[in-house]
Amino acid sequence: MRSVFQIVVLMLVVGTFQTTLTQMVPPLGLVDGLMVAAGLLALRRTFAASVVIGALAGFVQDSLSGGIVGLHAFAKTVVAALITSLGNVIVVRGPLAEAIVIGAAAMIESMIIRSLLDFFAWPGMEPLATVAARGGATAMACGVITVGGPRLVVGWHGRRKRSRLSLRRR
Amino acid sequence: MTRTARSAALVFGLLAFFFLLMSYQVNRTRTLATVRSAVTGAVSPFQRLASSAVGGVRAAWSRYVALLGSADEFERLRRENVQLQRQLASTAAARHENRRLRALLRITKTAPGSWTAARVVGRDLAHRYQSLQLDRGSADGISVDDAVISPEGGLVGRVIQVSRWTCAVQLLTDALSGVGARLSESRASGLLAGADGPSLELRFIQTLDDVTVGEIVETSGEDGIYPPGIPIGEVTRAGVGPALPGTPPVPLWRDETALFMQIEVQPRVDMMRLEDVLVLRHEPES
Repeated sequence: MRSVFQIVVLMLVVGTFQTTLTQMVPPLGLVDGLMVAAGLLALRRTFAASVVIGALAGFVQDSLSGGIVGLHAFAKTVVAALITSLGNVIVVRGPLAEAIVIGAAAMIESMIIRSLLDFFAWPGMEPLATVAARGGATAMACGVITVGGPRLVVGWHGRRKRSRLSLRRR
Repeated sequence: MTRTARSAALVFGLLAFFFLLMSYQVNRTRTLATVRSAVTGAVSPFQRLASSAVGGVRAAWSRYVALLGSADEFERLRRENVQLQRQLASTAAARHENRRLRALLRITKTAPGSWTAARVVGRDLAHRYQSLQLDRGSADGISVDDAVISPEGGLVGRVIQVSRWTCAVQLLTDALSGVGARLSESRASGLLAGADGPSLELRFIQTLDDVTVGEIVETSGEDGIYPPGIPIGEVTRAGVGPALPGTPPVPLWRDETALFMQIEVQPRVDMMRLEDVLVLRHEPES
């Protein structure tokens, strides 16, 4: 229950920062931050947990976007199921592999959304060039996060450890 | 039930739920406003905080870090200053200013309510031309269907959803947006619809009407949402038959068999660069 709450908060924080950053730096609108968060979690969780994470991420995205509620939730649920299934078949480890998988997942999600919009005859279909650009941008963002994030955490913990040791010596 | 069957049931259950949710909304104008209001209401304080934090970092960057290239910047600004002084001497700038002020004055006279200045704090996550979030909400007197304009007086869109501290604005460029509009010279009225891109489409203008490229399009007030006379943009292309994407503007042509013209309008406001806007508040009817 606690971890579900944590995931909901994480998705809300990622979604909120994404809307703000998109306003401040428009090209960042191509990065699907929620897909990066949901994808990285999906690669490390069980199938059922990944599907729920995907649905939650999509639902948050729907709530922070115009258009039909449920569109991104549907697409992200499918994509989260695909990512976990892939993770069970082949080993997806390391920043490069994860970035490629999540970039591809962002493109698959966009294609699912295009198909749903087409099915419901709803406007707002993205051009294929944007779909490809979204995949590339999301993969790059994922790479930056998976490479830079752990180093930042390790560096911070290392500094704390060093300062504790120096305090003990004194 | 095995674990695999349970997982499959979960996926299909979720997908069926979302599919039914989408089907429910397709033919309804207001799409689950309560759910969306609850989420935006919950995230709005964080959104304001994040906007301030990112704004602070950006300001620090522009004030200190960007000073590294200040010598080149100074030289560029000096040259620009000379050019600006020349421009100032001419009457063109004054005339432009005069026109802008006249437009603003006209809006203040025709607008039924008062103004609230607001800052853009967020953008639509999925489609950049659909909506944006402002840092004002019901606590500031904003309500649904308030018109939103840029500080220069161009129409931006309307408020579609309000939480206590923020509100969401449907942009003119949203494919579901519709504005009662008229041409400033021929006075022909039609419906201005978004195309989910940077340009707009003016519909239901008869082929018998005179339309010129460059003509100003403004709100007609017939939709009961936007006050009349707010400039929206100018005609960039007009004709009959399917428009060819990527072709340069063509002169007008007529086809006696067609009823309506196809008119492309370039909005006056660059929706991607909006930072501050004005919300025209509806006065409560007494």
